[in-house]
Amino acid sequence: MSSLALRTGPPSPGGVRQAAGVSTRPSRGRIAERRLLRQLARRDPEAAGTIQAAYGRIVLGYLRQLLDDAGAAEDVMQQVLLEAWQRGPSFDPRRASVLTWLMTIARSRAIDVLRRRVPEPHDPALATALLDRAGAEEDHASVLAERWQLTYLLSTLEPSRAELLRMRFQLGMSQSEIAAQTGIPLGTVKTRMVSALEQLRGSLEEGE
Amino acid sequence: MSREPDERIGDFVLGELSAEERRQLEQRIAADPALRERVAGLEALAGMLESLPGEAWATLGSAGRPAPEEVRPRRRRYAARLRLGSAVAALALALGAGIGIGVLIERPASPTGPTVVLHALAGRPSAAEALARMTPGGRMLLSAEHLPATPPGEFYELWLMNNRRSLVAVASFRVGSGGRAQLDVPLPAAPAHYRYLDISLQQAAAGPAHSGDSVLRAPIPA
Repeated sequence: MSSLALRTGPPSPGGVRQAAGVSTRPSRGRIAERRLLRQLARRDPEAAGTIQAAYGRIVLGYLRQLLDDAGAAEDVMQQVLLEAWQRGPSFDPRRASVLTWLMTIARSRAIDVLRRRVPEPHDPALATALLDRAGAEEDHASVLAERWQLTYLLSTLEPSRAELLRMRFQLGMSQSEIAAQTGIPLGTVKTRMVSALEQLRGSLEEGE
Repeated sequence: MSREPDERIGDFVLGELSAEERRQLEQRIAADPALRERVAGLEALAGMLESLPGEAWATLGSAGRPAPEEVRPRRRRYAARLRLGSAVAALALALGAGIGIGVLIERPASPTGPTVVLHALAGRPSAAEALARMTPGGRMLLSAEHLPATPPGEFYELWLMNNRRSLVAVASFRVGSGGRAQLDVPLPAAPAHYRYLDISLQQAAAGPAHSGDSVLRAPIPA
């Protein structure tokens, strides 16, 4: 687990979380989350659709990677939506963000699926080995959940900032190479790079 | 304590400082707890970003935002295509409780659609509800709960529907005493063509038409 594990702590009073060096104006994602919270609280039939639209790709991407089975991932996604819809009125946004909550549900249901894939062994010695394996699977599920939550937060960044991070961390380009390719002055690339990282870090720490 | 320029912090985290610059900054970091915490957080974040899978990066630009609205095809009437024969109904009834079958009438090119919650109609058990989700692969997943157990000689039918004359059967299923049903069925038509998702209670002996005895329903958002 990284030292920057996603936190599920409470947001700041009033529900407006502020990332380091970022405007206090609620983000588009924050506004959408507030609307979703109202829908969940009153069991609005649109809540399930809102969850699917806002977080569906992230949760499904996580499930596909974890389960390595598109059909099983779709089935678990369905369970996640149903459970979220049913438990919506009792969801407490002071304890976790909607995404953290959804990923927790997804992780639990996916682990259920992983466990069902392994038949109960007759040999007690095998049972111990399977327990170890189950523990490793749960750890893996947690790590992947963090990565996909980070992906969601990336998607809430201004697209040009997210692209900068993609060029650096997915494509492995240096800041000089990014400056050369985009035509943006190197100093500006550096400023924007660290600003994007700080914003992302702030969002992570707030459990957004 | 002097404030370290942001760009140098970034260069440090990204490994783009010279050996001498790095050594100097490490000394400052060692002497400044706040700076140490900041750098540690950024390094951890950089490590997470480097480990993101390609498919995660590929979702950027779409996650967190509604999918582009599907081009709505011309409305067509499907009443003439409804051909749910008694043999199909009998097969559906032969399946175990909660197992649905799809009645394939027409495969649309791209039948993606919304997620909807079906509610009990007036006079029906109010706790009954279902959540239906259309997948990009042209399937519908439906989870129903608190439905009354299917009486002998009857079954539930899931419909895409505009009205009693413009509708298409999606799947037939039975429900046991647990009141639950879980369906994963191919969609016979694009949901965008229809206004409602409807679940009716059907008489096995009464033919394939909608019984007029709807249990759950939800409007399909445009």
